[in-house]
Amino acid sequence: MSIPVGWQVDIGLEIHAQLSTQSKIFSGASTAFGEAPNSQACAIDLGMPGVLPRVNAAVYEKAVRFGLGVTGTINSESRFDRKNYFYPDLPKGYQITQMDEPIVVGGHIQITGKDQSEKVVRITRAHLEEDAGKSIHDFKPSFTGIDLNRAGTPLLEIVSEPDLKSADEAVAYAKAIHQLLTYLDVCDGNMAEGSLRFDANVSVRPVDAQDLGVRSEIKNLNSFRFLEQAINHEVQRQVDALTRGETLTQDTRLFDPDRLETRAMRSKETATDYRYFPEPDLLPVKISDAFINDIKDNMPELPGPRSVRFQSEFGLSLADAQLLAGDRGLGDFFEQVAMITGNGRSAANWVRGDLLGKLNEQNLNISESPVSPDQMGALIGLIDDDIISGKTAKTVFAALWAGETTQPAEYVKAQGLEQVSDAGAIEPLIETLLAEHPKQAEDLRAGKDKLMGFFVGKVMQATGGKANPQQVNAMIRQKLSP
Amino acid sequence: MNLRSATIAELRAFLDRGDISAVELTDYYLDRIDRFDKSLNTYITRTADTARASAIAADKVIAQGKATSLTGIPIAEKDLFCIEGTRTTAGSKMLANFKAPYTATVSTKLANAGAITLGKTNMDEFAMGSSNENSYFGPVRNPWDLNRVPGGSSGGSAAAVAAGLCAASTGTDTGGSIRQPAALCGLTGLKPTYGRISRWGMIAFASSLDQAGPMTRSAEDAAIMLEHMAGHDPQDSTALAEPVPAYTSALNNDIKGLRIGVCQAFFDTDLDAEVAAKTREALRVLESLGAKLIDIALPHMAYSLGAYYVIAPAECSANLARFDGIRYGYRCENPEDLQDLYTRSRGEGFGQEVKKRILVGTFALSAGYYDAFYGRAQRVRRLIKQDFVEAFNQVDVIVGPTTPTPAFGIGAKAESGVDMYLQDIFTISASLAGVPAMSIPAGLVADLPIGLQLIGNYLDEATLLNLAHQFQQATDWHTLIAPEAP
Amino acid sequence: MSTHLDEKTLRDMSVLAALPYEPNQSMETLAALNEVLELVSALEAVEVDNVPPLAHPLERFQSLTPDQVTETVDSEALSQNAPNFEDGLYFVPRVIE
Repeated sequence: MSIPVGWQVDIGLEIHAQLSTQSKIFSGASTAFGEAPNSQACAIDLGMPGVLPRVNAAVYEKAVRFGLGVTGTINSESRFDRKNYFYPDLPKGYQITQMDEPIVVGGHIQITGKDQSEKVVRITRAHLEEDAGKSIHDFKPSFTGIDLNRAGTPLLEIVSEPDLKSADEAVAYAKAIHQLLTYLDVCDGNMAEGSLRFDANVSVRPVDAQDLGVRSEIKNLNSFRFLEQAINHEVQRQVDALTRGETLTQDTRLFDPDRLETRAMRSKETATDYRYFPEPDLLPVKISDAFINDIKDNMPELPGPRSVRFQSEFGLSLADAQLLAGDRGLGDFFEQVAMITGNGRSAANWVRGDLLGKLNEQNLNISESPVSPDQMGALIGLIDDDIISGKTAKTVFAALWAGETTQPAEYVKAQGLEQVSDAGAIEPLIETLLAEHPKQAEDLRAGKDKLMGFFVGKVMQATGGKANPQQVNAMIRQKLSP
Repeated sequence: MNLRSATIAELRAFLDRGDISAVELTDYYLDRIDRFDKSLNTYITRTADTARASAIAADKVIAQGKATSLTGIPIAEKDLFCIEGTRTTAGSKMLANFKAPYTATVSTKLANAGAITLGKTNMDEFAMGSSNENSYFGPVRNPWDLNRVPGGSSGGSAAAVAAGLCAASTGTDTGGSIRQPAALCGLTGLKPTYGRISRWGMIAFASSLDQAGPMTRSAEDAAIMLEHMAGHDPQDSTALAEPVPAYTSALNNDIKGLRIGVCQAFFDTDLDAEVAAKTREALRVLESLGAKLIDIALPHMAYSLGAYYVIAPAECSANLARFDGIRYGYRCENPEDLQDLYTRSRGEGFGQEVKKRILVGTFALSAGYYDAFYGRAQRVRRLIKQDFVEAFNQVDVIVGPTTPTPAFGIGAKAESGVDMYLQDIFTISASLAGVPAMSIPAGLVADLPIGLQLIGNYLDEATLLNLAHQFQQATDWHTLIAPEAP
Repeated sequence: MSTHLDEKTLRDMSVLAALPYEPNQSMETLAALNEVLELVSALEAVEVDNVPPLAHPLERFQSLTPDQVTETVDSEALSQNAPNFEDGLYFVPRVIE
């Protein structure tokens, strides 16, 4: 959907990322997903009388890592505040969050548009807070059931400036953040389990207007698709209303993916005086330079710079480099193979092609690959050393994948898959073929180069794929040359 | 062997010598509770069965010669401390049937030391009050005069010790809730440094002010109790990690040359003339023991009441939001919808004073008023703290009255809210600063006990207890027996 | 402080605090609340412009806890006080978002 003519759109996103910790932000209960209702909510998560929060160190480590990843400022002193409102999934009647002194301030991330255009999106802040429980509306008629397993799950709320000018840009930004979070092991990125949720602040204004329009906040979008759809429908709604001469009021909305529309929320966020004040049960958190430096020293190379390096160091295309650098495990795998073989392009072709294809087919992560980088490197080495053909290599790869062998070189030897490079063995074959197909031989000599494939194919067929195609090619040319 | 007047230290000797068993001692107190508590109403819940079982265990430990200073000593716990298996009400209809599945760190520590819990004591609802009249379980009466209040909010804990219905008790102090009832009942009551004792399992009123402490018959007993109650707790981020000194071994230090600060502001306003006279008399006793009296100023003390009545209600407005009738606590009949569930459960479950403070706190934090109220109160709080920091550069302890008057009549102040708040006018500043403070008996005014307040530097409970003990070696006010519970 | 609560503010505060607003009691409640505000108005006399707020008497820093699952959740014990708990869920009148 394109932006209506005569209008421009301003979008800021608030991304809630669940941090991939073992235990909750303020208690020692498990963050495991999908357990029986209320089986993961301890007395602290339930807000029982007399209980007190504590602070999980891992949430700070992950938040700092993200902050460094977006080149933000890490506040050496941060503090928790209480945000007060009543809702059944909020056990204490307040959420512990960071209002005035968040852990990360500022930062930016680069996004790539569909047309490969690049843009920098500014990040306002990222702060730590606790997730709420879940309301279950369809279990018992006229009642809502409350499951507090999710209550107290650590969240990093990442707030962007209203730099995003379309739904496409918003999605590209959300995907860039998703990639960074998973790359840095800050969040598992599992959208289906709600590990990443978006609130979109959307406003429109005439193209020549200076000031931002009246915004609506669309809450709780849990997929890239819904994010895109919700923004597009909200933009259209606002433009339609303004075109009719109506005045918009700032509101909070929900997206209905079945009806493809946003509607104003009736409850929860309507009373907006949250009465933030410093959480008296927790002290301010001071993190030392040593803590930050330790994280800095252990930061992996980020996808952007890594992609640039893959292009210059290994001669990869932009697309290959971005794909391989976009996932930390995949990038590491590729780089190991490239180091072993000294052949970056063919390492990229194999990892991106055969290996990734097989992984995707079986829904496996790179860390679960049955073929190791060493094996992959050895396999490519056999091709580069002209011991096997590319075609044979696919057979060897299949054997590695199936676990029939762990040593490509031994397997090739045992199965007799070495290329036939002995000119003496191939020459008679070529001579026979040229004799059997004089018309084609003549045409080839006359410059009809695609017939080369015909003859090479015949030789490969006759040798059971063991001949070296380049060698066969060269020998045919020699035979035909005057 | 006089059990009625016996301190923990004396009972220890009786138990260790075998003059009495822990079971017999427990039965002695349970019997007194039966006799006197109908009129005094100090206990909300009695735990006679578990007390006897603990006493049997304690006798075995004593026989093995492994007793701690508290093994077999029967105590009472303010009903703000959660104890697994026993109901914890906070003096409120909201929690009239609440049983916590966990135990407060303080209660665990005392139980581990061998103390026997006789029951849970009455209190002002959610620790909000200075007379113990704001209890869903009815007012507590002062064993010195049944028509008078025992003070609050730890009124049940105070009256129970004063009436000999337990050897000692736990209290909590947010603005004076240990010291004021200790003064009005003729006891020794200590509010330690904020953070000295874990708040885990203690139902919160105002988190940055709440502090647990002992209520006892002597300073020595307070030292014994504090040694067991204090210490680091990973479950309370605000509990201090500093090691707990052996308070009992510092009790007999010489106080010669100890610098005692006297602040004229304590004597200027609202102080009953006879209380003032008794306070000055106590200061002369301290002087006679070798302490030096030095005039000091606490320039912002006059603002402590105002700051307190913003900060405490603000924190309480959030702390009490969890009582929503969903996971525990009172729930109204047949709620029409969610909003009805919230407002009626809270409206019916909370008493008037609690609702009033929640509304004040909500207002103090609300948009447009935060800076003028909460923000300003926090800045004034810093000034009050600075006053103490500066004062303790010159003196070791600050001494003054605990309350403006002795115990007042039941019903005398119930209707006029703010008049009641003035009860804490001398105690609140130490709470805001977080410094330790205690009240010790300083004589009788119109046959009613009054208290002397000792305020110490951060984490210097040892000097307070030392000074209090030396005062009690020179006086016998703390040994007087409340006449309505002979 | 000449800040005095009026009925509208009292009603707004009651909504925020999830407490009932009872018009027939509002004058009495207002009087009680305004008495507290009167007491608090003493703070206006204090010069605080250059004084940072003090949120906590101990000006110390939070210690952080290792990321370990330390709680075994006994949901039966934890839900024993719940007025309406069935099939592992706490129930409230239906919520419309």
